[in-house]
Amino acid sequence: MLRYIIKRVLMMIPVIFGVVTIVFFITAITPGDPAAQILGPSSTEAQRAELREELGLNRPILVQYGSYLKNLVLKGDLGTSYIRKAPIAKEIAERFPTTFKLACYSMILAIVIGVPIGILSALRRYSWIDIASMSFSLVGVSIPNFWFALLLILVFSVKIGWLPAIGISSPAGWILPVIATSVASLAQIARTTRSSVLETMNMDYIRTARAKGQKESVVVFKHMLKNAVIPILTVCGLMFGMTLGGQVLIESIFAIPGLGKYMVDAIMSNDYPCVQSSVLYLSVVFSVVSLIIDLLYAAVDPRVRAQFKSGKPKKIKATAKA
Amino acid sequence: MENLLQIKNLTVHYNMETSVVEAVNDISLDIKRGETLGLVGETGAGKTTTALAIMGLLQKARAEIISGEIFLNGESLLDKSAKAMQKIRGDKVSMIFQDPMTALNPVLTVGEQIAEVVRLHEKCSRAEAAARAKEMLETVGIPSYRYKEYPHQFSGGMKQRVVIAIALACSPDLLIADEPTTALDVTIQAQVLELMKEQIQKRDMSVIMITHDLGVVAEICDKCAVMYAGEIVEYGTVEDVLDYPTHPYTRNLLNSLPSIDGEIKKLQPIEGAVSDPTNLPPYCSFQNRCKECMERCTEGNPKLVEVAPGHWSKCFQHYKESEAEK
Repeated sequence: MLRYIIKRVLMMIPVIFGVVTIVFFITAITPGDPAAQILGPSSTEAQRAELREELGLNRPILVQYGSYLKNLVLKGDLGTSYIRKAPIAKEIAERFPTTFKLACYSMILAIVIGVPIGILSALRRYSWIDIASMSFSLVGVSIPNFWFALLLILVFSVKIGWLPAIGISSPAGWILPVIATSVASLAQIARTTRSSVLETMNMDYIRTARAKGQKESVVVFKHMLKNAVIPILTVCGLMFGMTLGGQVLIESIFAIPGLGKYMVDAIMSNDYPCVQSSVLYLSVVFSVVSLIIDLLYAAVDPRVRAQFKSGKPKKIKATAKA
Repeated sequence: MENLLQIKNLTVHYNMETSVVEAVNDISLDIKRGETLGLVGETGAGKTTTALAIMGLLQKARAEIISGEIFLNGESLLDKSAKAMQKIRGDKVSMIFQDPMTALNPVLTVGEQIAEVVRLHEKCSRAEAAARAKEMLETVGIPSYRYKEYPHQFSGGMKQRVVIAIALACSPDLLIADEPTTALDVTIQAQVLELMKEQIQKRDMSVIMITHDLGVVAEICDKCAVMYAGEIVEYGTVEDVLDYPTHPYTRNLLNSLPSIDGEIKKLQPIEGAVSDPTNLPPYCSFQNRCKECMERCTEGNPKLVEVAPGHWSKCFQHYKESEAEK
């Protein structure tokens, strides 16, 4: 198992390298002059040239790339923001806990509510519970979360006045952003849980469990859910990675100092080092989350575990069907 | 000998979206203590539905028991609550399913799956249940150190042994084996059959052996019931039914088998196909394939007639003149 983890961590290196390289060259060929952006429209060409010189932007692109990689790999230096002149590593580290908390809270909410809803709809298929919860989740998947966030503010902050509209200085301030962030994941998790449980509930081994005289609740939670959990984990991982990547609109609406807004600001202001570092951050986040999800697969499914031990990880879906 | 299981006039239908599948139609069966009954018939004849009705495991959404009663030890199973049935399943009546590849839960160890049924029905500790499970593994010919292994680490035959261990763990009064060897290859079939035969004799339990393999019936059954289109068309001791078949369907079935010492010729299939179970005729459902079909066969559905003591057949051929006039 440890060998597998080490292998996966090593495999992350080429992935991240690839991402870093592609993003570096894309930002480099993007039209727009960072110097003009920084100095503003009233600057003279001489001032801009001076700044370009200072930032090293007039060097050949391969040289820029080389020095960027050198700093990144040897010093772990993500560079300095063009605009704020602050080290980017520090800026990301400052914002990460907020984004991480938002992602965790909304994920927990989505799982705690989404999974039971999914199970219930599957067990009571075509009942009013099923129809109601699946309509709800269809709406949940479809509505834009910023619109939903505004709606929440309108109802709970403006009309009823229970919760603060912006800021996360108090625990109550987290409630609306967490709900707004989780609604899409919640709906997606509920739908996935439903279809996965539906697929599992007609399996022969469920009949075997019933033939043993097992209680229905145990049949559902021990026999069904443990088998249905892999697709649910996949969706959870994807959703978690996405929220960790930052919720630009939610962060803007609720004035949360998170990474989503940070990245968009960086892109808008042509702050190349910031953009590159943000994408680097995203690729690391997705790699780590997918590693964790793969390890969770192994924790629930002995067949996946067996593959890890034999060192030949195959596609999980294929083996689950076999 | 007293009857362990009595099925009286059982009729089960499946309500599909646009049609009704008449899976089991008015069948009656008695199984005595210690008796092994072979339930024979082709796919769709209603064998498994009958078994699931006994187990109380018919799909609630689709299946409907139209009429009939099932008694186990004189107690009506169909009147029992879901909870009471849970106590009976796995303990008094247990079932071996057809496909061992899918009958075991892939994410639980085989030992756990055997111990589960022990813990459900016998008041014992986790450790005792595990010990019993290991004992059962040895009984079915699997070394007990494989307790902690998962189904994917076992071959098909081994999995079926585990399924048998689960079914036998609580020493049921009645074992229903639904085509236990169909999904296995021939050599493994023989081994599994041997194991079942040995256990049946040792435990003195009643068995319903569902199969379409007449060889299996000849091998381990005492009685044999032949099903066709949801009805029992012939019933009697294995000798009666296999050696002196009286129903045309049984005769055709036996004719279609290759003989080991006979001359090798073309196999003789039964012409035609089974009547559509959503649209069974009001008369004999074998009539369209029967070479011995008479005029009256399309006039009504014959009842089971006792052609010899304990040997019943559902065909107008056996109606005496007096009955014919009725």
